[in-house]
Amino acid sequence: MNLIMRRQDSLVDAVAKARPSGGAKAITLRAIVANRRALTGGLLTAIVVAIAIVGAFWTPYDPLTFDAEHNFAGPSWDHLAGTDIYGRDIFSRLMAGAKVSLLVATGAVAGSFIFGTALGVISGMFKGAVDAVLTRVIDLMLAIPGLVLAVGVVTLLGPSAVSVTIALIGVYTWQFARIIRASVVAVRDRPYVEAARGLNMGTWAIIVRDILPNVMPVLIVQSTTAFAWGILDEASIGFLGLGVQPPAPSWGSLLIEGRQYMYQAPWLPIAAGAVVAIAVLGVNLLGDGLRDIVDPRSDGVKS
Amino acid sequence: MLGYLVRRILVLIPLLFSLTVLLFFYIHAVPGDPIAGMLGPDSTPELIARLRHERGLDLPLWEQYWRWFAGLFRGDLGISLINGAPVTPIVINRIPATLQLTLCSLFLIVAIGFPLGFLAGKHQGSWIDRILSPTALLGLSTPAFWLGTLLILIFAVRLGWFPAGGYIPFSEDPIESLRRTLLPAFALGINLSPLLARLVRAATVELKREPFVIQASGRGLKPNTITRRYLLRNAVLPVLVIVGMQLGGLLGGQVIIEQLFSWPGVGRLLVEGAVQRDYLLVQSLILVVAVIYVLVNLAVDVLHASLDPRVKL
Amino acid sequence: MSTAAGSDAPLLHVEELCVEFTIGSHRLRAVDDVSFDIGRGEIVGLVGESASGKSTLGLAIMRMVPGAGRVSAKSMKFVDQELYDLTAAELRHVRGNDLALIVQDALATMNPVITVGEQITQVMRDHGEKGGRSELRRRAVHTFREVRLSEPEETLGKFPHELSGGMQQRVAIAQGLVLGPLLIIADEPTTALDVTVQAQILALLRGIVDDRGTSIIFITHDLATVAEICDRVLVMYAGRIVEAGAVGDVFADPMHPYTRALLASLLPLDGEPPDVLTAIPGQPPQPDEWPTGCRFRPRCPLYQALGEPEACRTTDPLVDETVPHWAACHFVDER
Repeated sequence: MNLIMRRQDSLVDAVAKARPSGGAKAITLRAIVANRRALTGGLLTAIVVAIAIVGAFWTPYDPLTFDAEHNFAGPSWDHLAGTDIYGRDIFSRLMAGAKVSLLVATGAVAGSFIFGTALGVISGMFKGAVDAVLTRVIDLMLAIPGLVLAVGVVTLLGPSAVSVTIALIGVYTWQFARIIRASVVAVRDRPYVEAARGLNMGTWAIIVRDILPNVMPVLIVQSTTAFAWGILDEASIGFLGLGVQPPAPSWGSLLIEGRQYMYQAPWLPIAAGAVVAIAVLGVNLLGDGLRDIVDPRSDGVKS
Repeated sequence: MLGYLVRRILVLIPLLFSLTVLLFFYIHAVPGDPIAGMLGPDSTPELIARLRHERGLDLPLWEQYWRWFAGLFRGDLGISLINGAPVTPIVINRIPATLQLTLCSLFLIVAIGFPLGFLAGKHQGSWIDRILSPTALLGLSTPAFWLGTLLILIFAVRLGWFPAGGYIPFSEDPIESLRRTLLPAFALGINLSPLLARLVRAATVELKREPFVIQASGRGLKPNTITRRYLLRNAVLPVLVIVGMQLGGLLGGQVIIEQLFSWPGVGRLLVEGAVQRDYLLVQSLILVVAVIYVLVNLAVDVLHASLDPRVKL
Repeated sequence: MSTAAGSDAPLLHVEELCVEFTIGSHRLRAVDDVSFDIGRGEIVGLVGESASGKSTLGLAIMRMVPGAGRVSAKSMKFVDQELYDLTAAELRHVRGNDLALIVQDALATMNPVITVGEQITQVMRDHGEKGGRSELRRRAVHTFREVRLSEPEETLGKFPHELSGGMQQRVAIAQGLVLGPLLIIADEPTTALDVTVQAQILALLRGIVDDRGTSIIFITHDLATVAEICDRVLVMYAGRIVEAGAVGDVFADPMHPYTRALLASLLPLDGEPPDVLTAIPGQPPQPDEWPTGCRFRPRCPLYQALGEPEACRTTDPLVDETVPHWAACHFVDER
């Protein structure tokens, strides 16, 4: 295997090993409130989610209705983020679009959580050939830049919210698998797991009862980080014109329009990009804070 | 050194082979009929069958893989699904633009990130040190498309200092070529430099605690000597590792930036292929990008080996 | 033998030295009120178990105690200047020129990406030594030869990790030696090496003292090496010096129960090993749990034998440190 990959792996292993012997620390509400980054990020995330929920039922203007008289209006008190070529209120469209964007990100995290954990646990628990092959597959998949791989899947499935979700699952799964594998390997040889093995418990019982609870905090941190990627990548794929297609609003689809009318209505790409940036920043802050809570020695920013 | 290089290249062969297998079956594991999707609602079963036959897609999967792989061996990336044109010349045509953008961007990342991180690590608790962590998070959270858009709106539209895009080959007009590269390279790399800076900072802080750095002052070496020959010289090594790791993000971001700046590189070709749903083209392009990633990492490794005498050659 | 200082002022005069670490709200005294002199051309052994403060003492002389530590002393006079009054520039001049530190892990103290030749010439260049590249190289080769490196010219071009452990320590010593320091602080310089190499390095250090009149503070946990090369010995226990004297006197007539216990646990250099290997019971205390009164009391066989006298519990043993051989024990005469 190539050196870089081994190095990345040892980096992850080092993080897993650096954890205090009692396993990763638990994530509690109290710990989140006490951590400034986690609190700020949590609040930002909560606001974004709240807006998405409200936007699913009510928006200041109908996000789909044309209003030709007021097209390309700049930001004003009537239209906080201006209007687009058809006079639709961009702020309303951003509110309505939040739902699809957050759903895609949620789906991507949920899917990769399940597949990645399964792969990681299998690879970590079974030594030998299974582990060797899986580790190499995981490393190789990680050598393909995520967005490029996602574009490949979307090519086959066609542009839609569902295909973006599937494509992102196909990218994040490997990240999950690698981190989970490292964590599993770190707890695998601990005395209590050995003891469980000594008691003749089945491998699956050990995984469910002893391993999973131990890697849970790591999983939560990883999921939070992946959620931030999900928002960012949905928007990026949308920006490329390969995601949710207009006129349906999602942050990604708003970004294509933003690109098309960048010169006539600069507020459109600025507003849409800012919303994505704020949401991603919030979730990243939360993930960073959670990482601090789980592993106080870690470096914070994901590399 | 030569022996090391040969060994590293030998390791590369099974790696690249596995990569082709994995990629091919990954793409073919995606459900649905890509031909029907490509032809759209106007397609008929006969049309689909004919196209399948013409492009060799009715062959068994193993044989399709073998044909692709054998072609790769001869430097043939296969044909386009859309028009049956060979992919290789198209890709080769696009590589210089991508390479120029990537290298300029890498240069910017290191030129900005390394000194910042080094200073922050050397002077822990200074203002550079304190702003570094939030800046890194901000950089990570800033979408490349947004940053690029803002740069275009400010520097191209409002100030008119740079063109909003368009590539001119370096060989044609080096200065104009670089001038045009600056904005997209900045958009692509600027958000990664605070991240690099943070990692360089961590490495520098760790170096300061190394016995050999402490002992250097015990031997009465000049502070300047310690900074240059002890800290700086050793801080370069982790940077190489980090740059290799960040390359993936850079190659992904490339796709977006090339689109935004109308940059005729591999990334834009990939999006064109994806929009037309030409999965044969896309499959080969993904491989090209992955190979670029692997090769640049090899180059980084070799550079690392040549700078660190502890690496066995 | 004993001190070669003669009537001159000592090379190093240390008076009431304390080193305190503040960790959180805790203040730990690693070195507690220590005074001693080092004469010219003598090797003084500083012996103690781990956590006795012996390494911290060495660092304090180098002014290299890490940031969390605070050093205070009534006087720390080296030649004719107070070490802790020196400016940064003056200190840099003294380090390397007059003072050198050699530690156990020689490899870790060398820059891994620069050849050892470059490192040693760098020391000379940074101390303003005149001469071009070839002149400095010549001096480096000379010093390498002095530390008995078998192929000095070839070694110049080697990186630290390419050398054997013994060669690494020789190169490290050469780096400390090249400018002809007056005092070398050698902190367990031979502990990591195998026995033959150990003996060679010890002989080397002894030779340096004899040829150049350099002084060495030899920090070790091993009394056997002290017996081999030192002129005088200072026995440290729990941050304090508990016994001091010429090696011959201390070994022939140890005054402190701790020293006696240390000696008893030593295999005799000649003759049959004792039937029972006596080790000192218990662990040396950490700086945050030093007992009141005599610090050796909890482990002291004499304290037990005398029926736990009150003085040991309540009072620090005070001693006359001006005599050549002394020990900090209330019952020195009971031995």
